[in-house]
Amino acid sequence: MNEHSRGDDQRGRQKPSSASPRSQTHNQGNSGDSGNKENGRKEKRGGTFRRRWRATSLPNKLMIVATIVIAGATAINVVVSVKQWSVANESLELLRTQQRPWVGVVSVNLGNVLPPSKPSWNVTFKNFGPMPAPSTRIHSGYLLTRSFESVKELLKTMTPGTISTPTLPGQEHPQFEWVSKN
Amino acid sequence: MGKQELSPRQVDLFNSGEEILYILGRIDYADASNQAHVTYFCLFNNGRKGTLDFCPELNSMN
Repeated sequence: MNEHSRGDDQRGRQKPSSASPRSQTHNQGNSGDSGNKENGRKEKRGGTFRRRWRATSLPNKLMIVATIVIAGATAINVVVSVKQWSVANESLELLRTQQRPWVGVVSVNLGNVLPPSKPSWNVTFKNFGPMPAPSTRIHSGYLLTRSFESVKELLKTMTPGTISTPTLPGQEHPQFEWVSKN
Repeated sequence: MGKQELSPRQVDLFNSGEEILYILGRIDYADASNQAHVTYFCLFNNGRKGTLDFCPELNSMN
């Protein structure tokens, strides 16, 4: 019981001492208006930081400054790396576009379309790119129509050709002749 | 795709320029890395000239 009472006494004694700064602040507040109160708080915060900074040892100060510098440098490095990655990606895409075969039509010659002949035509195609195309398949057809929409529809549904031919760069390839079929 | 030969009616429409003859097709090819590419082509003849012209509207498709 005695010990308890002593402990209570001690707590009782400590309370006023811990409460004293608050009471001082309170007292300061009481002495001035609310603007002064806020200024006082700001000064206190700034003062605390300055006090802590002064209290920090030189090696620790150097470590903090170095950490901030390293963090900034890392952020800059990340930005530069992202930009470099983007440029490298674009260059790769450009290289892929340049270093690939480009097969297109050079000419299409129309034969006699009027009866009794069946409409016939031949297509000359060429690889305009710098790389060979190991397999090239061509398919063609004709349509007599007024609207281009039906041409688009037919192109969309057209299946790839069946005969595969390798095409070399810069070389015009034999004409493929079509005769219209049922 | 097309009929075996044009009917007299079709011939008349073609000669009068009412209907246009389209020659169209696709070229499928692969590059060295086996990536597939397609080129569509389209040419037309309106019966007034003997030559074929490339369809300008095809650009909107590719």
